Amino acid sequence: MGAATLLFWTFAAMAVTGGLMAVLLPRIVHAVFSLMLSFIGVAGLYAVQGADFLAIVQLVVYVGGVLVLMAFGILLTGRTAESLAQHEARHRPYGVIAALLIFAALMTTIAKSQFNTGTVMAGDPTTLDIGALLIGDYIIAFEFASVLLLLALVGAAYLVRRAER
Amino acid sequence: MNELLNKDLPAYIPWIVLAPTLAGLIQNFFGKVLPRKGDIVVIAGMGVALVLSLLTLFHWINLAPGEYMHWHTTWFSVAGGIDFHVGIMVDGLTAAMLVVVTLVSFLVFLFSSQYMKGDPYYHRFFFWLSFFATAMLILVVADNLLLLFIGWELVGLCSYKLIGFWSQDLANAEAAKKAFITTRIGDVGMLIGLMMLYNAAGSFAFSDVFAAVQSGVISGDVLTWAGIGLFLGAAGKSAQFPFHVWLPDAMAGPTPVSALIHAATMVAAGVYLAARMFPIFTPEALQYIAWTGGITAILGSIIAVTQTDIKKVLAYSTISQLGYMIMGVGVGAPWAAMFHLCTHALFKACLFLGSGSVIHAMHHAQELKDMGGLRKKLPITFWTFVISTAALAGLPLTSGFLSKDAILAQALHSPTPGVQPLFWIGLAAAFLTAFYMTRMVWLCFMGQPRNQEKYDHAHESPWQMTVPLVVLALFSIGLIWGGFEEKFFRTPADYTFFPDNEFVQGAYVAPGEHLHEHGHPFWFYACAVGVGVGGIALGLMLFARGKRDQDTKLLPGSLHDLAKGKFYLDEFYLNGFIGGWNKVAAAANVADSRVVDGLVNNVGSGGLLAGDLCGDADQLVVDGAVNGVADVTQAAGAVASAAQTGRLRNYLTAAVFTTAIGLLILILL
Amino acid sequence: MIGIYHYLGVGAALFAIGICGVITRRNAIGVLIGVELILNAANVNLVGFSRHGGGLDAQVFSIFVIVLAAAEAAVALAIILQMFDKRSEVDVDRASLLKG
Repeated sequence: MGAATLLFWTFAAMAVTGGLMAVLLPRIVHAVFSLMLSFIGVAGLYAVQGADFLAIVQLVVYVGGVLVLMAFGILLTGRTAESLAQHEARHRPYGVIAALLIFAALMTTIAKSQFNTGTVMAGDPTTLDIGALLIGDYIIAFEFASVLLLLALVGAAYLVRRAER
Repeated sequence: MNELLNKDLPAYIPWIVLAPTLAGLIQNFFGKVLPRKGDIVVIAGMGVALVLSLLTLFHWINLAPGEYMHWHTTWFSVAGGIDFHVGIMVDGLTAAMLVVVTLVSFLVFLFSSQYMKGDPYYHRFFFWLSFFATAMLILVVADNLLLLFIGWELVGLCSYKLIGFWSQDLANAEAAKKAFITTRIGDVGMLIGLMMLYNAAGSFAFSDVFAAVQSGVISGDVLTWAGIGLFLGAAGKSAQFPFHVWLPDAMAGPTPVSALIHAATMVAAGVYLAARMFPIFTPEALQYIAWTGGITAILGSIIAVTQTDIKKVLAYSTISQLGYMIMGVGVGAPWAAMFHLCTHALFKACLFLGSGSVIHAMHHAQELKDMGGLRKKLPITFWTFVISTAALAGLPLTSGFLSKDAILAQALHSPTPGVQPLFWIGLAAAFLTAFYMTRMVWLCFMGQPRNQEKYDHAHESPWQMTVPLVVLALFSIGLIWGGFEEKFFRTPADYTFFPDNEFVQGAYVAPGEHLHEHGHPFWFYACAVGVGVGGIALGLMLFARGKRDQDTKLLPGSLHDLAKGKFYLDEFYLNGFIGGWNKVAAAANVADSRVVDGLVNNVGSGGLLAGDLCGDADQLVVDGAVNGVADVTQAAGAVASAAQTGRLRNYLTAAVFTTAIGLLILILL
Repeated sequence: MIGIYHYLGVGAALFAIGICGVITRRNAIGVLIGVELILNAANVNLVGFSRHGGGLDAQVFSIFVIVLAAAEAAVALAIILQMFDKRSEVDVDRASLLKG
């Protein structure tokens, strides 16, 4: 078993276990920290595949940004959040069945499909090329994404403002 | 297909759409800081479109027969090398529609600048008005069904916003919702028809679709159903039976909006679609279309006789006239239908703006009981109203006479099987039209004032409102249409997109030419003139002595009540469909709150409920057909409605289950 | 040797877990966690494809997905805060005004 294989299984286990904990743990604070584990695992998976830039973005945006946002959200809505956990156990069977079904469906689909298993991209640094693509081929999409972020920013600020009057 | 000559599009034509779009955007974003809330910008934008439309019209007239202007480009491609095109196509149909739409829109905008003066949302009103007209223009210039459908839905959206413009009043919001949902039901049919055609032709472009129809790729029953599907969309938009219920309620919007909806946009879209897609309709589909139109025409005119609200009378009159146009398409004369659409657009816009002028003068009173004697106070409104009424009644020398006769003549000689009775139905509707319009004019303008206080305060409207009236009334005069009629509306040869197939050429050209060459028989003219004059004479006889007023029952007792109640279709829908649905939903809600709110249980309780309903069916059937329909709806709705818990999680669970199981079935089988 | 199928497997697992989270959680933030997991599942797949013949375009798409996820998280949290402000709760089941 090579180092890459070992790393893959480690990170995959992190991602999946973290995800499971994030979904199943009753306390929402624990869930958010498990989600961090999952995100780091996913970032590791990116790194193993030579997607170095994405791995960093994953860490910066998700672990550094989204998770912190969520933590704030929990802080600000904490009072009632915990009491909900007891109610959740009741729907869990449906959720688990649905998840298992969709997992089975996806795995069958994957197993039955033919994917390109031959060529593997060289593990060169990707940052420069991604940058070139972003301001080259994808410049319009890139600009739209920036507008979208601005809109989200304005929208979020608008939504949380206290009602005037 | 005859050799279609594809001419390049003059560069100014896209600006017919772009100018109002830009004006609308500028007004939307900067309107609040512009003087007069930027209405000038919108009116100017539409003015530019009007001038360019006229240029387009004259450009088209100078083309050789069979030529049309076309420009298109690839919009987007999807995997498998399927390209979606977007483009502009201008033939006779489009050119005529462009002028009508921009002319009426321009005049309505001008009118609105006075009518809506002082409204707190004046600024927003003008934006939606301009968006409405723009959407209609997109629909008209589209060279393919997809772009047409986009314009179609935009028109629907704008009508929703405008009908419910004064949404502080719940009734207006309800009316907007009704218009939106009713037309949407028709749109389902349209979408299905669209997909069937796309499936056959592999393209949305009109030329490709017609070519596919002509070469027999799609034919027989499939084509009939595709045609009827498309027509359902047209019936929804053009307020044809049984979708007509939304149109009278749409009067809730400001009067300029009513004028726009009833003349140039919304309802015209349906007739335009039917005329545009005429080549795909099979004889069976045409039969259905013709009868739908005929029934709508007579139904609308009967109801109009009993209405007491000035705008409601006009609304039912529009329904009736739209029925005429649709009937025209059905009996195989889309050119006559388009001719009637154009003449009707102008005189009906005049009537609506005239009623707006009256309502404005009367400080927003719309009931005929408050009117009477207004001719002295509103001379310009009165005369323009009378001229337009003459056109609507189809008196000789008016535009309405020409176009109505074109449809009636075709109905008499229609090659569509089994539609000959429609000639007589059409005559009856024309008679009633002349009659109820006389009734309304008399009750509104003649006689003695019935509400002295309102009468004393009435005053003629400012020039921004009277000028559009005068311009529109001018177009009610038949002579103005003389030249255009020959060019646009007489023979199918000028419609570049009528394929050369046997049906159209053999069956459809012949009667038109027959009439054209040999003229109508004398009794035909006698009938056509007679119904108009007769209706007016009867109206005058009944009302001129001043003994009858708006409340006099003019029809035999039970028919009057039935018509006054709009044949109880609203109640039928409300109790039969919506009420049934609500009842089931309420029952399901109760059932739902008792059991665990999981999806499995919901479906279970829905099933139980359906069982119960079947048990009760005996009792319900006794109550007659209305309840019978309700039962079916209830039983069918029970399962679906029970799942409407309002909880997104439940919806999602259902979606996930369905997807997963569907995927598994798809993969494993 | 680790191939494309392994990555797709991890992606499918994360997706299913995310779905489970969205369905079972009543806490709005819990739902958000599920959604983030689903988006990450898509990204794992994209990166897997990128390595196996998809090229860098796939990674560019993952970047867009991350951008969307960030925007979505911001707006969603704003909505959650507003909901808490108005109704003093973050229970998604109580937001059921759509019910029939």
